[in-house]
Amino acid sequence: MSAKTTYKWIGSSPVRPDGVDKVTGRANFGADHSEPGMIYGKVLRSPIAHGRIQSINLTPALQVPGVLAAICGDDFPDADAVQGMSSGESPADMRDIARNVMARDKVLYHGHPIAAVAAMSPEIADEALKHIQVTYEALPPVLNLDQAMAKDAPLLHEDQITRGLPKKPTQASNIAAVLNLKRGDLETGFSQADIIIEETYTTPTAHQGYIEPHAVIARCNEDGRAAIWCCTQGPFVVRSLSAQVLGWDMGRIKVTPSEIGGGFGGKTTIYLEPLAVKLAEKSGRPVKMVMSREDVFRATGPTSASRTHVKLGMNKAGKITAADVKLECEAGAFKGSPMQTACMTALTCYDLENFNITGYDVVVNKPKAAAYRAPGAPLTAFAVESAIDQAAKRLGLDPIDIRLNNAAKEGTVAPYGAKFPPIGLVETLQAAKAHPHYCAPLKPNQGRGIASGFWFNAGMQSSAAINLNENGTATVITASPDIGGSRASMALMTAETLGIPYADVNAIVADTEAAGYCDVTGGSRTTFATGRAVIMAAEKVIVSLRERAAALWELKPEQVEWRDGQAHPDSEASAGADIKPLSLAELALSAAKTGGPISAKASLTAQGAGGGFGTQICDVEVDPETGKTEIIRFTVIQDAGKAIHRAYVEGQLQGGAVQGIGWALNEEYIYDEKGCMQNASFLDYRMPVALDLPMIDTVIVEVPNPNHPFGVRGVGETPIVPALAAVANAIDSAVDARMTDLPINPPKLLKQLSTA
Amino acid sequence: MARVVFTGDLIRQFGTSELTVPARSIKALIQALSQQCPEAADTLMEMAISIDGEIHQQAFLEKLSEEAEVCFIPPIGAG
Amino acid sequence: MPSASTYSRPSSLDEALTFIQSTSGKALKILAGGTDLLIQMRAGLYPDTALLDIKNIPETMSITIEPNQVRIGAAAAASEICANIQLRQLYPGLVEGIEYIGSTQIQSRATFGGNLCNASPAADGVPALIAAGGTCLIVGPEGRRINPISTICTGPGETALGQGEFIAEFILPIPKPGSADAYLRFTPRNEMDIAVVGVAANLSVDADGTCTRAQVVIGAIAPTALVASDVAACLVDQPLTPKIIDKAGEIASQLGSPLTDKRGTSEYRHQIAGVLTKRAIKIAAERAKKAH
Repeated sequence: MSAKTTYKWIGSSPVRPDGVDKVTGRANFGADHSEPGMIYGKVLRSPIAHGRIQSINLTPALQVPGVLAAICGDDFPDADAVQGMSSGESPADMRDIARNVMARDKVLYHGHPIAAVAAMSPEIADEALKHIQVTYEALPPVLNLDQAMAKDAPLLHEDQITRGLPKKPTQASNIAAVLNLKRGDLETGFSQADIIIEETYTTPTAHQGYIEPHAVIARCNEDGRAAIWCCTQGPFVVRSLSAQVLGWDMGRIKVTPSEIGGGFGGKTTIYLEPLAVKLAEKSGRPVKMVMSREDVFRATGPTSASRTHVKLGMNKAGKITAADVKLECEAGAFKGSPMQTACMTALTCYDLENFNITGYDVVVNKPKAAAYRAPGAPLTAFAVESAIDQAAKRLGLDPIDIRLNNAAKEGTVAPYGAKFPPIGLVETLQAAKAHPHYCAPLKPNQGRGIASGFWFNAGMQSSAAINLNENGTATVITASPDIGGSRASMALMTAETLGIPYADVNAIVADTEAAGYCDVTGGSRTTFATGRAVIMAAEKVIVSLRERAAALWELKPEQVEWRDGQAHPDSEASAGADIKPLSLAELALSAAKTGGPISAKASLTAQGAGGGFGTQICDVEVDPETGKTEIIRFTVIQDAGKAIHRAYVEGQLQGGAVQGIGWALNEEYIYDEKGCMQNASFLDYRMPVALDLPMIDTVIVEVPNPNHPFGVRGVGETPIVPALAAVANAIDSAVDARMTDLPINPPKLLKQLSTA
Repeated sequence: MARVVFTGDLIRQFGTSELTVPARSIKALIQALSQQCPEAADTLMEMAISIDGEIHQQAFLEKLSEEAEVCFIPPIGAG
Repeated sequence: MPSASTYSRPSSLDEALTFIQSTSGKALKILAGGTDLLIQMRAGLYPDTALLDIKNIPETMSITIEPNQVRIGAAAAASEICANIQLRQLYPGLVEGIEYIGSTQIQSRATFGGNLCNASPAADGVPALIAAGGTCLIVGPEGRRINPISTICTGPGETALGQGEFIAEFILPIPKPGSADAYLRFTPRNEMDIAVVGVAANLSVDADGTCTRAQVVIGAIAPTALVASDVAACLVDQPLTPKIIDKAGEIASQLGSPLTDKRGTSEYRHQIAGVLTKRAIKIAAERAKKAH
């Protein structure tokens, strides 16, 4: 396999299999499932941001006619006893998850679940919640980094000792962890600089913004087993995490993933699932729970607000001589902001001799942060890419040339210590420079910004099964929920490998009993890792097909080749004999007589995911009288290794850019001084709508990843990373206003312009 | 001999950011490192590992070449 | 699901009155498009309320251009209004105002009557409606009366309508030659947003370009849409030069008592009021010149 291999199916853009159902409303999302006898669950959420629960009385709620069950923290096993197994979460993290889905001794954010009821109708359930009696001891809320890190700050967790410091502290702290990466000598590096840029950049709490709220139906059977239907990026993760929170053996739980209306990392964890199971267990009925949009904002993981201080030294020739980055991240109510990956990606686009990166993971009384598309990377990329732009401006150098001058290449040692295998950053920068967008003329009040970014992309575990049907078609089974076109990609890879038409392959997403173990659809790993499992299974199917043909021809399997969807005797065996090739369809039709159904499975822990680099060009027009920024042109250039389904890859590039643009221009959580979110709706949590954006152009660069049969690199996450700085740099270019505090909404920009 | 690079908490636990360890597999490497510093045993199993530049998660049975370079990196979350 | 105590969909004004009389003493809400009312009912704001659906009454649904007046039914849908070419030629700003509201789906339900009587300070349909200088036909148990549109909104969510009264139609004058209106609003997003400020300008200019009549109404900077008479006064009998228009903007930026909220600070709203006033006047003036 090389970049130049021509493929029959790989790289094409056939019509997506889920399209018609989705646009006609037929697709079954999380809330669309029903079970006979189903009742409805609702959650009572904390009205205060920080406090101790003194008492909960569920009895009055149970007395409301039509209420069949009520639960609170006491109905779950002790949160400290939760073990933590391989669902990617450590034991300590599992204790936090158990507390997050249902508060135990403390409430830690406005919206934190305290209790839940199940009743014959949603209205009765809502009414029942009003009857639950809770008393709290209110505690002072900690609502931002400075409050959390102040001396004598109220502590969210009295036993939280900061991890990662040179000496282990004795006092508890709201700082959960510190990370430091360094190389060389900063003093020497700064002494070599001709200019130094020093600036602090801040980003707000932002939500993944999936349009489908969390939804689950749980049914408990008489035999002690439970079935869960939910929208999720990982049914096996739902099984594992729910089992641990419930204290159940995970073999008792079956999870069926629905069609999903967006996840972006926010659906790689659990919220309602264990509550629904517990209510189903207690009431003896299936229980459906659906979050409102308000619930989603108040109580599901946004991504962290952050503050990054950058000191960047550069010489006249445009070489970065030193970089000092300090990042502080709001983790929300429990530890685990994406501080570590933010630190690891902060300077990864560049080959640096001297740097120091320090990160702080800080808890505050806000909802627990959850993964959001390249978690952490956009935070530090915003800061570093802005600083580089400021340096370029000061030195009068071209922003792409500066990046080329410092770019990481194959063999560069990344800040986290690993040497890069083949990567495509330089290729994306060169493609940006050559793109007509880069030299298109600009009018007054218009400006252009450049930024680059990186995401690791993950491997992790995947399984796949391929069954041949009697009519020569193939069914491909995985448990990778389709959030970005993976069914089509699996079908394309199967079609390519087996040599049959794409239309003859049906790729499905199955539940945790029918499919082999699979980690989440996330981390930009699915086309890579689940793809590899699918290809492995297809190759095993080919082995079977060759064996069947060999048996029919009375040859040895080694004498049979598989080409273009057919078994052929090799040149030696076919010499002198008149053996017609056998198609997959023919072999499938005769399978019963040659040994039985033809199928194969494969599972792997996929290693060697290729990192994804991207460069973006953003043009804006600023209305200097209102401060409104219009995106007038945007181009995303990214290394995909190999684009399996081109249109889906383009969609990922556009989608990530859009989320970055929204984050840069208008999205933010607004809290009052008590820690209550003020804008928990799509009206005032301002995500861009289609009319806010131009067509986003994409360029797919392909520097193949040697560890995938088709060269695939993940693409889903990288496109959000450069977008924040691309927008900020464009605004500075348009109206000479360096905005270091996101979002750059009209009132803020106008204020900056008026005071300039 | 494997050249081992640490990040984060491991630097404090091992007192250094670099080590050389005679080991021809990740399993053997982690065993040797855990013996040297028992406090670090859990952390070593949690971290992502880069072997000669390629990032591995859940690495264990991977073989190491004569002059392998192994970096222990904080685990990478998925979004 | 929200529920009403009783629901009626009469096919004439008289039938409507009969229903109103039958519910006297009980809570009653008028249902036009329902884009605000249904949300409020779901939030539990109007339990046990009777609903009068006025979408089946000819007067409330039709749009008629007569020789000396324009009549717009209070429950005529925005999509119908925006598709009416004649109306758009006579009152481009009025149509622009209602056209801003919501999405395509909302457009098939939103109405001038609902927008006005919901009485949000930021309502997009209201400023140009007031600036047009028209009246409305109010129908109720006490009979019918005709009042200027400018008297209807009395505060956020409050109107001058009495118990059991509703607006059946709006009656607007036919614009004189050399007259035109315009409406602009500012929102952080391009669509699907609530106005931070909205400005309607309705002007007449003579053959020389001198302004002979002006009405400027600014929304979202006060509890009700603000009739900016000082702005109008500085335009009348003046040529609409950039200097005069700048002055008008300057005056506008001092008016009202805009709030600081999630969508903008008070300071910002003042600034935007000034900017949009200038721009709306310019557009109205250009249209007016062409309307001779």
